[in-house]
Amino acid sequence: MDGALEVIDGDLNNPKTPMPMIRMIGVSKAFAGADGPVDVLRNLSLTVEKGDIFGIIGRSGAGKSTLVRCINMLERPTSGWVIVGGEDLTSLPPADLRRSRRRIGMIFQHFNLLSSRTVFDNVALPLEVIGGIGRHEIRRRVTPLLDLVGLADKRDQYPAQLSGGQKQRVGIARALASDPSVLICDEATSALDPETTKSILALLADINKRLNITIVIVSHEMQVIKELANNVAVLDRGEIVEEGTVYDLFAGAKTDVTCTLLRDIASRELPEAIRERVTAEQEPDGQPVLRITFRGPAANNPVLFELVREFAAPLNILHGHIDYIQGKPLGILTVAVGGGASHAAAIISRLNGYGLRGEFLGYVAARDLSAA
Amino acid sequence: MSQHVIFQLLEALLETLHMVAVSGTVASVLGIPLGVILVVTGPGHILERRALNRVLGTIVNAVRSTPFIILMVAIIPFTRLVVGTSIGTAAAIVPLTIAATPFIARLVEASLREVDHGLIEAVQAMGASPLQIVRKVLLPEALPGIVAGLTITLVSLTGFSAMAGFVGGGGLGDLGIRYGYQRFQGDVMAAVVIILILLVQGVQSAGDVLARRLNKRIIDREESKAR
Repeated sequence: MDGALEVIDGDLNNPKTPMPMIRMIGVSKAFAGADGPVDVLRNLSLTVEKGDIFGIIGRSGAGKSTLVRCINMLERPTSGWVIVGGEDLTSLPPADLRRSRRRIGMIFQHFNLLSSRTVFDNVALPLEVIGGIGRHEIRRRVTPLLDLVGLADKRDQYPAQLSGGQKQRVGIARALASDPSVLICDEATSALDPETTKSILALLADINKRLNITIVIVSHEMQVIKELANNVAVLDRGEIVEEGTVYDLFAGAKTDVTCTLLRDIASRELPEAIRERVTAEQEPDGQPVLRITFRGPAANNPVLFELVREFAAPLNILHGHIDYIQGKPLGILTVAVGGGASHAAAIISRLNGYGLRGEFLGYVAARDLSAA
Repeated sequence: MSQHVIFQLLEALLETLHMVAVSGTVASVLGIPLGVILVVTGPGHILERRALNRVLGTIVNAVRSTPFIILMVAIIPFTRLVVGTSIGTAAAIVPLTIAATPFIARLVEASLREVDHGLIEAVQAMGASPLQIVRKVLLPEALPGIVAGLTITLVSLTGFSAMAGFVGGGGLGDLGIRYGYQRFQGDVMAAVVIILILLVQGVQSAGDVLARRLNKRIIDREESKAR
């Protein structure tokens, strides 16, 4: 316990390290269940830098929502510290916590707009909550927010008259009304269709850039994280099992959980028809199968050409996919290497030399290839 | 029907309106906050106070399960304390108010429970205090339901007020019993019943219209076009 606090002090006192926007240290959360307490978060720590877009992904029930709800104390951690903007929210008395919450905006899966209020009045609500802000001042602050989310013409409508995407835009404008430094998005696009999801994500990215607001986004959809986030944490059974930049996660997922989550959108896996032909044992005419991950700057080099030239090995492309993540290309190519197994190991070490990643998957019989 | 009887009918109508209006108003003033307290002190709510919640719930149930005619007699000393007399219209208003207050409280409680918990969380995340949550979320969102509940209460009060004759409170019900039943004047009885039907219909319709106007969850087509 003391150790963790020293870490906080150390950071605060060191002018060289910019203070992270959010720090969660050793956060655990248990809920009372029928058979005793259920651990939803287990001794979890994470850091979100100022201005970052931080994604949290996991399967349903992994504890994602509980995790972000601990950031603004909608859920109070059973133990651990939550430090937002240098302030430990877990130790604040209720009145101070309410004041600090104004610096943390939040949007929800089901929007949670007040049905009795117009669009304008919904966005004005956080300002009314702050109190002491006159009507003119409220109008002065709400109007640009409605412009920002593109709903200036809907200001006098009620939520019941809006589409899902428009409702979430109101939710975003409302979350920004108190001029927060953090925006929490709890499955904010999960109730929306793919096209609306895209436009909401674009709006969030725009807001992040324009207002330099730190965004924490929770989703069970890798597509959402891929499109919006810079950094990501993979949550499984209340623990962070993998963490890093989104690009690195796509380029080299280390855990099964991540691979499963990635499967839907990144074609890492071979198509069924090819996969069932790949065997661990080499048959007489078997060719080694390699998966090459093109990542980073090396992805732009004509690597395949050089391999063919150097090893004089015919490369048979079985499957390929190129993706752009945060504007950087990420390619995954599965090839069968002709001309003997001895080449495989040499090719892998050469790939590593290029800064690419080569993995040996098994063997495929040459006759199977021609059949495919 | 003689002019005398018509005059009596008018006087009785005014007495009924007087009793229902005063008891309805006072019971709302007491019952709406009581309903709010019943909700917010409930398990898992914004101001959870289990013991207080249980005590209030028990009192509310006790009053609601006491037959009105018994309640009226049982609280005569209290009535005398409040209005200085145990007979007359004013004396009838006290038990009517006491009977209607827990009734309203339960109806308000039911409406407030309908408010989506997500809305409460959304304003909590904005840093709202419990009082702000009640004023800005719970009451406005539940208002259509509360209005519907108050309408039901007014209709019930009109019915209960017929028993006010027992303490000399007058009113339409009392007139109907005395002339129609005790003096076999069927036409007076019929007139009383017709006036009561019209009164109840009027109150119910007005309540329905108001509740619908206030409900922004379902926007009428015409209204939507007019915007």
